[in-house]
Amino acid sequence: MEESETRLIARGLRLRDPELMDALIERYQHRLFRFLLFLTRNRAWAEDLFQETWLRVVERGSQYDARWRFQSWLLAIARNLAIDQARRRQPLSLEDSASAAEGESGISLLDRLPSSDPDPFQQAAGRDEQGRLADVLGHLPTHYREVLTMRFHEELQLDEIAHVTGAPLSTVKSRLRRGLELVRERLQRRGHESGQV
Amino acid sequence: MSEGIHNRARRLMADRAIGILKEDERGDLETHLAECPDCADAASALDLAVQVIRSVPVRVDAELVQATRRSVRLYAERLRENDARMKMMMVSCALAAAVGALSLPYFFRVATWLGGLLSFPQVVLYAGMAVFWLVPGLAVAIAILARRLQADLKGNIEVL
Repeated sequence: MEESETRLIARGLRLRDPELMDALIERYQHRLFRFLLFLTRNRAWAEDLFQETWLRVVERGSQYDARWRFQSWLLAIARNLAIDQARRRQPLSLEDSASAAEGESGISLLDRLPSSDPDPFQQAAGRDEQGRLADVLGHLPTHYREVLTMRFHEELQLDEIAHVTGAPLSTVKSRLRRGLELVRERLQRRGHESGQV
Repeated sequence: MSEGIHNRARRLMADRAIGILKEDERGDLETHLAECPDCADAASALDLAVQVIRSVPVRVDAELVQATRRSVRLYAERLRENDARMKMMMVSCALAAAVGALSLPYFFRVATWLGGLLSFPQVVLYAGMAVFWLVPGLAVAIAILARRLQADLKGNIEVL
């Protein structure tokens, strides 16, 4: 996205332009929903957060910084709302407070919340092999799942992922490497078990 | 080959998949993959992992999008109205402050003259002036609180 486009978006957001909002929803609907589904593993919560995220975009539009792509700002809002929701559903324990103080920002809280039944990834992908492979992703810890989806689905640059997650670039790199390695290991294990992959 | 070479190769494979592999390391990786079948298998599995991540089809429900659009439009309209009200209030406050600052010496003279005429003690005169200056601000604050209360009640009723 060019800087002139992000400036236009920033201007429209400041004015709370309804046409721009429609266009943004049209353009980013699937990406946002997929990200939320990956993060929460729960279709109902993802749907709630989808609406809440767009309302927050309207409300905080003047805070959008045109130096960043709109998409990364959108995902940052969605991520923060998901963490807030996880906190509401499961208040922080002392251990969580300590990890939050160390900069973990509460994303791991999402790991402890149950996924919807049936699993949204399998439901989305169907009952075939792709569905079973998608299930591998659904069972990754959230901090790996979120960087993987931001990089490979949403095509965010590494510095954008660092901006969204608030983590240092080196942490983003190591989470991506480790996350990929986990997916590979699990796919290979499933392949050995089923003799298919 | 030592374990260190394979571990490095795994890291480079991941970097290649992520898109951060340096050019000078690409040759090392390719050479290693050509010589090591285990790492070549791991590289294929990693490519498959990336394909899997990219291929999970997730689509958002059209009704949800429509409902979101409606909510967003309504909310944006309400916020725009609030923005306009707030702007008008800021302008009013600025004008009131300017008029107040300009009229202060004259007002003080009139109050002093009136106080002398009616033989009021000075403390009453100053208290009267303070009340006079606070009244507009208090009126605005009460109006804002009343409006907010009304909006909250309306919101609660809509929820019910």
